[in-house]
Amino acid sequence: MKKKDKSHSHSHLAFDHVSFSYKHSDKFTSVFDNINLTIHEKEFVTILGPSGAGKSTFFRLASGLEQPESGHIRLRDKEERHRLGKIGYMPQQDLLLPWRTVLENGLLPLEIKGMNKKEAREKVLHHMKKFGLLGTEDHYPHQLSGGMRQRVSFLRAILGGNEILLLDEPFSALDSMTRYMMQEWLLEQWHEWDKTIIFITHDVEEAIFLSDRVLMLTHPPIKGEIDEVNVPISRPRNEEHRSDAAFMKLKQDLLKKMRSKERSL
Amino acid sequence: MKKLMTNIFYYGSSLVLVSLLLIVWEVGARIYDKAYILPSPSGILVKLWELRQVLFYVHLPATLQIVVIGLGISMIVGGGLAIFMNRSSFTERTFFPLVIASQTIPIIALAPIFVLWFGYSIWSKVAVTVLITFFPITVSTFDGLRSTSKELQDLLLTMGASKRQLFFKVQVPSALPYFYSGLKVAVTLSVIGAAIGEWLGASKGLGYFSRRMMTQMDGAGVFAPIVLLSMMGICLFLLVKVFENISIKWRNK
Ligand SMILES: Nc1ncnc2c1ncn2[C@@H]1O[C@H](COP(=O)(O)OP(=O)(O)OP(=O)(O)O)[C@@H](O)[C@H]1O
Ligand SMILES: [Mg+2]
Repeated sequence: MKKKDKSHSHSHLAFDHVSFSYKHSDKFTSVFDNINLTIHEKEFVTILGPSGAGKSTFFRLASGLEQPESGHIRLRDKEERHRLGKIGYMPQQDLLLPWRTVLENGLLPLEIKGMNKKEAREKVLHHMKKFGLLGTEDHYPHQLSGGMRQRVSFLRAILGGNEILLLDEPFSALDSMTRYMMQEWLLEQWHEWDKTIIFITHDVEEAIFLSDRVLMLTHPPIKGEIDEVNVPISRPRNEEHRSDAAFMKLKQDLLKKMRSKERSL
Repeated sequence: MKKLMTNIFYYGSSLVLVSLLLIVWEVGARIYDKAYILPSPSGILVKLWELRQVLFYVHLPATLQIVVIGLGISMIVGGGLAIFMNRSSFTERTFFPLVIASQTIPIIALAPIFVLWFGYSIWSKVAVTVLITFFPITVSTFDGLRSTSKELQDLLLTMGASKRQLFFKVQVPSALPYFYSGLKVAVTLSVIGAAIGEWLGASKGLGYFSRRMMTQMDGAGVFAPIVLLSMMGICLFLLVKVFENISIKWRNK
């Protein structure tokens, strides 16, 4: 099951015997216990799991907001402790700055990197066009629809310019129609951008439709090797693939696996 | 013009109430007919007109100067203290009790001491003003800084933001609305502070003038500067609102 597509055989992000727990006054909640996993360059991986499984915690570790208690996190085979600013992160809530317009929100990562104002503005506007956000640059976040806010948040993550993007349930708040459209849109963008994407979801169908590989988390603490399933559906994918027999079969299998994992606890 | 009309309409109920009170006052004062105890609104207006020279060119500027300097110092001290207390729980624990204690001191008792320290100069009145106006600014700005969303700060950290960028790009904008509500309270208090200061020792200013008229049993003369003080408070309040609307324009869109 571990065989990899040749196109992304280089390791981009790797967890090596990583353990992590939250400390609450004197209580410890262990979330990860000696886990190992590797994400390859230009791979699209989803992390699938129910609420409380530790998905967001995984992102906090990867992005550098938290450090492992033991073990190493590697970027391109080199251990990297200073990961802040090196990995793009789109948080679970869209977290746009309410006092900034769409354009100014897009400018934020570029400002932080110290880019020249005019150049930054042009770059943001260029991306806004691609994202279908032109005309909203002077709107404030509360004037946008949920789907638009997610796109702005995604735009901001892309503009950070990092090669790894962590997307935490970006579409969970959207209605199913918008969600399908956003999924296809995301794949189109990904084909263009050559990025490594790690995508969190608790929707099995979304996981299959988007990714090369699905990692399954169930309940903390998560130990050792992470269970994974490859998605052998050809790309580019579109709406029709959702009703393929192979797609349906995979969905059934995944659901079954998740259930048996839960039961075995 | 149209905006003015809609505004008048909007505050119509308030205008009616004020007019009613004024009419009752006017009628009551005329029936009672002892102007040195209860002057009538029309009497006060007449007095304002008679005294316009000294009131507007001597006493109003004197008080305004105290208020503006006092508020300026309060904004710097209050804002600075809030930022400082927000730095660590140690600084919070150390300074917050002191800030609160400063408000339990009866100002009236302390003001004469300020006169001893600063003499009859403007600074004794500024000190009283600062003492009562820095508190709302400190407390609300501190709350504002604390209310900054942890998630937003984390997000900026993942973008590689420095402490300084975190402060200016997230904390300051988050605290700004709180700062303004503190400032609005402070502005109305500042007029009171300046007047108390002047009551206790001054040679000019609206508070001083009001008190001097008291000794002359001139009821309307007591009220005329008070009306001006109140107007000053209202104008300053509106001014703060204008600044607030400009700097927090995203809320009104
Ligand atoms: N700051 C924290 N302090 C203590 N425990 C925490 C903290 N954040 C998360 N946890 C715990 O860690 C576990 C994993 O949480 P996490 O947020 O990673 O879940 P998740 O998979 O992202 O869930 P969801 O799908 O609801 O977002 C949970 O049991 C949670 O209670
Ligand atoms: Mg989560």
